[in-house]
Amino acid sequence: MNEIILECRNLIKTFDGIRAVDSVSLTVAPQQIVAIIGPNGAGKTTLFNLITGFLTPDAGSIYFKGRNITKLPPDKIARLGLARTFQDLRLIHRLTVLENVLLARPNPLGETWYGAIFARWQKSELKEREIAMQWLQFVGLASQANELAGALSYGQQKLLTLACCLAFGADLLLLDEPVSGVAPATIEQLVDYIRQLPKMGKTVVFIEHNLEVVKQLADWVVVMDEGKVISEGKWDVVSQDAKVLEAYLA
Amino acid sequence: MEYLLHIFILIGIYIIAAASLNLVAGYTGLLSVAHAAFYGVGAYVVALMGLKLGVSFWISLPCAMLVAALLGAIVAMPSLRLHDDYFVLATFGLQVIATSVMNNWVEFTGGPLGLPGIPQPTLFGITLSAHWQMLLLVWMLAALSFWVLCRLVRAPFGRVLRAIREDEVFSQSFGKSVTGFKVKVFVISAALAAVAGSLYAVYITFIDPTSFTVQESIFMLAIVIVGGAGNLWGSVIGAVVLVALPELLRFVGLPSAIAANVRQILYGSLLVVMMLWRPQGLLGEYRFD
Repeated sequence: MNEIILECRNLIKTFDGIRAVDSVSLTVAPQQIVAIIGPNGAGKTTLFNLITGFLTPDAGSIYFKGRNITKLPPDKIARLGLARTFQDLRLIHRLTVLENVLLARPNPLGETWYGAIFARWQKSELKEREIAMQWLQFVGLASQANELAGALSYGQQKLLTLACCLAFGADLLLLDEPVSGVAPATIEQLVDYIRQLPKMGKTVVFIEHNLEVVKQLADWVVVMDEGKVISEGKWDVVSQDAKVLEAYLA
Repeated sequence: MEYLLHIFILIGIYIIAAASLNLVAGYTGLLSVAHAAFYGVGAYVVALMGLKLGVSFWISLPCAMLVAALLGAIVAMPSLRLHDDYFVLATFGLQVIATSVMNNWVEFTGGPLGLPGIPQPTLFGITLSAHWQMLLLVWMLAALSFWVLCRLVRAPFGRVLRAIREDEVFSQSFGKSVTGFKVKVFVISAALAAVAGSLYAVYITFIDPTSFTVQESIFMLAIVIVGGAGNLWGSVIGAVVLVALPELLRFVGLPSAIAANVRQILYGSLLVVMMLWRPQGLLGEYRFD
């Protein structure tokens, strides 16, 4: 597989004189699971924010499916087929679980103002609901479809954000700490679902501190420290790297 | 009887104004205090087109909507970059500008003296001068506006608005253009406010800047909040309560000089009481934090 779905070239982002992301270059091949690990403050989430357009890099460029997305706004980047989750777990708490998934669906009929007034969106809504329910079934939340998203447990909310990303139909999923703060049983569930994604044609990049999960899931591991990529490779290689061990021990 | 019809006409006009403000403030969470500016623009466009050009209400009404919508778009682009309190201040600024233009562009707006003798609308050659005819016109347009707003908030469009109200970043991460939605909502709401303003102008047949001040904006916002932000029926109930309730004071036998002040005190107390005991309003789901 020579093609590349995501490429970052020499990304730099500075906050108050501190380089949060310092010349990071990264390539991701399709249908792979890539883990980004590193100590707190290594710049992992900043890197995600740069890729998804919530931050603009000071220098460097980002290519998604061969297209330069460096300066695009987040919603345009998302529409190209890139979904993400957030470390601080974002969901619309006052909408139901089902409505959150429906919200993530791309361009439903009746989402434009004239469509809302004039189109017959009630019919297509029924179909959208069916699709959304299928994704809720996939993550095992179908029985809670009509509860408010805010009423779910933390682990279930993480499952819901995954369902949203899948319903969105993105090819590339950036998951920011998908299993942190989740009960062990739910971790197993999440790992199981994420493992199935490449078979569905999806590419996954995830940030994680739980190294056991990284070991189980990742085809490729990127280690960051102080804004730089200090090592990358297969888990077996990276986990023996002296630089990595030093970063984690320090 | 005339008096009762008058109250119902006013209620109809305020339902349009408040329900359209609800789309912006209640559903999208943008606390705008410039609604009376758009309402006023609608009134002035219809009044001036009727007085100076002799244009029929049915032509000047869409023109009024268009002008208000354009103004809404122009204002929306810069102010929607602002958040929370800063957005409120930006809309307050617009409201102040609008009122001072109405006051000071004397040769065009008549300044503080206002514009008297606005022609009444006609339908099939009949001038709608009787109260009951006006009532029908107002409630017909109110029903139409209400229907449009219902369609908007129940469709996937409305779902995105509620999502934006709660979490813009989440909405953006699923490809929703937050600014795009906000501009559209602001424009639609401005156009509907102009409908309410147009009706006010042709009903009273006289307008002056005092009807379109920031107090008027706050009155409309009070209807939305008391009725329930994020619930269109709440705005209907809010309009009934806030328009009709003070009228009851007339029957208590207070001298008119005192009644006007008591009315203000009533509004103020009602808002305080609502904020304390039912911040989401009578029917609302959303409370302003």
